[in-house]
Amino acid sequence: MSDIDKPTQDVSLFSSDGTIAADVYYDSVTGKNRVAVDANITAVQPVGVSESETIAIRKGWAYSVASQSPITILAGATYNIHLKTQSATRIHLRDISFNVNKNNLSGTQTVALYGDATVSVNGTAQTPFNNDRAVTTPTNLLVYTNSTVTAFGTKFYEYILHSDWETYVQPSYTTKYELIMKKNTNYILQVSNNQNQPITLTWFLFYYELEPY
Amino acid sequence: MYLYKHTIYKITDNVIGLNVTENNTNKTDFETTHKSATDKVTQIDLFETTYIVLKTYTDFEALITGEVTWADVKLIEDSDKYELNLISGS
Repeated sequence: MSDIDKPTQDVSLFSSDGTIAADVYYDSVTGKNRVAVDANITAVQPVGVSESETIAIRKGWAYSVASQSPITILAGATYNIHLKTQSATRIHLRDISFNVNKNNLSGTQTVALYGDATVSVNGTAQTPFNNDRAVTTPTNLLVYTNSTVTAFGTKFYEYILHSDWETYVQPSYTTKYELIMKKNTNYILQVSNNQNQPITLTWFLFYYELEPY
Repeated sequence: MYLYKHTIYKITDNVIGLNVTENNTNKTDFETTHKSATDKVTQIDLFETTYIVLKTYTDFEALITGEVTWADVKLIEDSDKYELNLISGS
């Protein structure tokens, strides 16, 4: 066992099977409290706070995925971004942002988030990229656009997208907000053009993935 | 004033909600039959109260009555689309 002496911040320590494997004991020889760490621990991971985001990026655990070019959505049409989680890691979705071309149209454009959706046909595969360009580890999150959704499942929110400035749907740039996604689940971000003219849109997602816990 | 508009997409990959078959049929018809007669412009700015009316390709063609010709149609051509514009007092 190894000791951690004088920790400067709170940490959580997990063994490879996800159980906490640390204990504080009083060392009668030195007269100090020490933390004993289980020898099976293989990695120390941040537990989803914004200060640890830099650590996640630098550890090669952070990814970005975005539109490859502006997308035209005709009047009354919808466009979906399909996020399909798997079992190997837990996805921490941080930033969801959209940009819509400036317009003075009557009506709104919105984005809705659904979870536990049923998808019959996956759409066009998108390619997330690691925020550490030296890391080649593939992401466990599958991302598609315009998948065929047979049931949308639970609707978490519907949010108006601005047409005069970028919309951050999840306010992660000001708070520690993140959405930890369930494993083996389909999530749908559906954009709706509720107007009588086309809009042009781009989108950007940022997330990091950690071992299941 | 009325501004009648129709858009024909040359690249359809990122156009959501488009009837691609119908669009491509219209594109072929426009390029072979009417494009050369149109007035090519780079931009249209509106300075009077103008109603913008979106038309289908068929309905836009129906505006060309003989008194109004394809030479009156202002064409804005981008790399990915044609924008057909016809200004009318009614």
